[in-house]
Amino acid sequence: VKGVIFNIFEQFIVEKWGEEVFEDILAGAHLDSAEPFIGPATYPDEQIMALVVSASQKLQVPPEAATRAFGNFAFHVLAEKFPIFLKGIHDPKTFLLTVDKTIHVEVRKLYSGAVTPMFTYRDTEAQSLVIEYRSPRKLCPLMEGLISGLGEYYQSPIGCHHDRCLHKGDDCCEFHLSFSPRTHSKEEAVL
Amino acid sequence: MNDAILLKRLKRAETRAQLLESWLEDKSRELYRSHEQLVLVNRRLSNMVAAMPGFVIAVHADMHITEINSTALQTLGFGEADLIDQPISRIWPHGLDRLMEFCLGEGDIRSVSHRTEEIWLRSDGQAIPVLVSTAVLQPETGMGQMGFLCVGLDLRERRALEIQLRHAQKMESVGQLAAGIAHEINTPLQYLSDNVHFIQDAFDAILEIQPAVEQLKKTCIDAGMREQVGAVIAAEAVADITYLQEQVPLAIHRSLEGIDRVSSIVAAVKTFSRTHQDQGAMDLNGVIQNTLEVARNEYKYVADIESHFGELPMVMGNAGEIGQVVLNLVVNAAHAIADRFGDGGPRGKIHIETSTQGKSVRVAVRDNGNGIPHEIRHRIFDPFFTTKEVGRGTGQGLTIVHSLVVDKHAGSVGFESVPGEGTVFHIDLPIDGKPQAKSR
Repeated sequence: VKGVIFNIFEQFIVEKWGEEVFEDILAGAHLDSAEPFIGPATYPDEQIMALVVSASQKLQVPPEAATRAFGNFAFHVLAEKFPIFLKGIHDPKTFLLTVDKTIHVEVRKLYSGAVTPMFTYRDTEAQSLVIEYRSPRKLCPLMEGLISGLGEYYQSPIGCHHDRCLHKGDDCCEFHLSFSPRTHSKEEAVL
Repeated sequence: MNDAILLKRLKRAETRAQLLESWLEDKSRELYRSHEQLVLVNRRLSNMVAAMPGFVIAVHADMHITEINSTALQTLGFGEADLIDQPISRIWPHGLDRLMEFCLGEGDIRSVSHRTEEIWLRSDGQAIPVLVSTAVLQPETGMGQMGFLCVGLDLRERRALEIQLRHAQKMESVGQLAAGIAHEINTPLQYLSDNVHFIQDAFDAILEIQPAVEQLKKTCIDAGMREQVGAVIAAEAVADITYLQEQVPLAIHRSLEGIDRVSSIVAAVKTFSRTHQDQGAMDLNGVIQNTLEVARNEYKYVADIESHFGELPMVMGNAGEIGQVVLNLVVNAAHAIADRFGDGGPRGKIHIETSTQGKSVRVAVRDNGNGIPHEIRHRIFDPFFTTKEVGRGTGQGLTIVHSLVVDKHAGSVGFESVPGEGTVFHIDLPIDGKPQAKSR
């Protein structure tokens, strides 16, 4: 996992619950190294998982719910850090369709050694989309959180039905998404 | 927040800053090395584009030229400043339409257009045929500005070569036809020759009895029988027998000369058309004489042949191929003389000389034609290179000479030329022929 995700995680905890809580979560994760995370570096997957578990214990919420909330928060931070990926895109569905072929490609170019999940799309209707998610990290709650953050960003709630799941032994997670009829995008609202 | 936590976070922030600084240094070094490599690659690519024999032109999406290589500039006769930021239609009148058609007609922007033949314009307005292929330039991420990369090939040389090749093929057909006609003429020529010889012998026999006839007429007249031989004497007067006795042998003799001449031409053509014969001992002087017979029509109106045949041993080689070499040199010499003196001018001279030079024999073909200009001397053996107009030269004559002498006979070809005065070609052939590869 890239260090930028750890930093967003820290930002998430500090903004919501404060620095002391983050320090407790960090201490509770019992990480091997005391070194701080830096954005471009890559860290073992187990470390983010240990932080999520520690956070759920500290905050007394299930790990999935913690991950989902983190995903929601992370989308807004990422949208602010990398606005180029949202430029000229006026609805969440169009954005999601660019993720695998554009954003993941750019992430792999920008961060050497980054491992991104693989998306397969089934786009049969205008207001819906099915995404098959495949990743050895099985971070489907994070995906759910990111999708809800995306809906908030475009002020257009996204219905998400998480059907098949890697955690249930399926070969992929299947997200059935339904989109609200388009109102206006954040960019357009600003204008 | 207590001081301990604050201190811990401060220390972690300091460490993070140090780590980031170190990471930045590493990345800066990587960036520097990548930049150096990019500069190198860019230089190589620029050199490649500049050295390409074809045109390379980048066109912005607004159809203005943004880059153009030196080959395109030289061929089209423009300077870089004349074309940069100019519309592509300046050099490619239908460029805008073609690029739009390509862009609208192709589903995949990474595809390359079919190669099409287009007409481009030089700075002097001359239209030239160009084979063009086009690719759409667009970064993979969809960012950046779109454009086109056009690669073109000047087709003028190819067109000229195609015309020359067609002419060469036609000449080959004519050669085969001539060989066939020579073969067909040979048989009737043979019995024509036999019959004229028979007529000659028969007339000689008739002439041999004429003294006896004269004696008979005289005896008859002396015996008072003038009236009886009067009819014979009158018939002889009508026939002008005296004239016939003088002129018929001459006519037969000239006919036989003509038949011999035709026979020698037919034999020469047949010998000349034997292209697949193997190497063997050949009488080089005979081969040259034979070739001069075939080539007579090429030079007889413009030049006289002077020959000096030295004493030569038999030379190992392919007589047909060496005949071809001499023919090409004589034809070139005749053309050079015609170019120098023109129609109605003085006749030129083609001097052919053979000699022995150690283990080689030398054939020298000298003409007093217009010579070879200095600037093209390095190209005269190049395939399809010619300064003659279409239909007169295929540009293959000296290429064939070089190939047959050097490659097929392990000999050598050289020449000396003085522009405006003439040229001499030297052909050296090893007496023992080309060494054969040893078989195991």
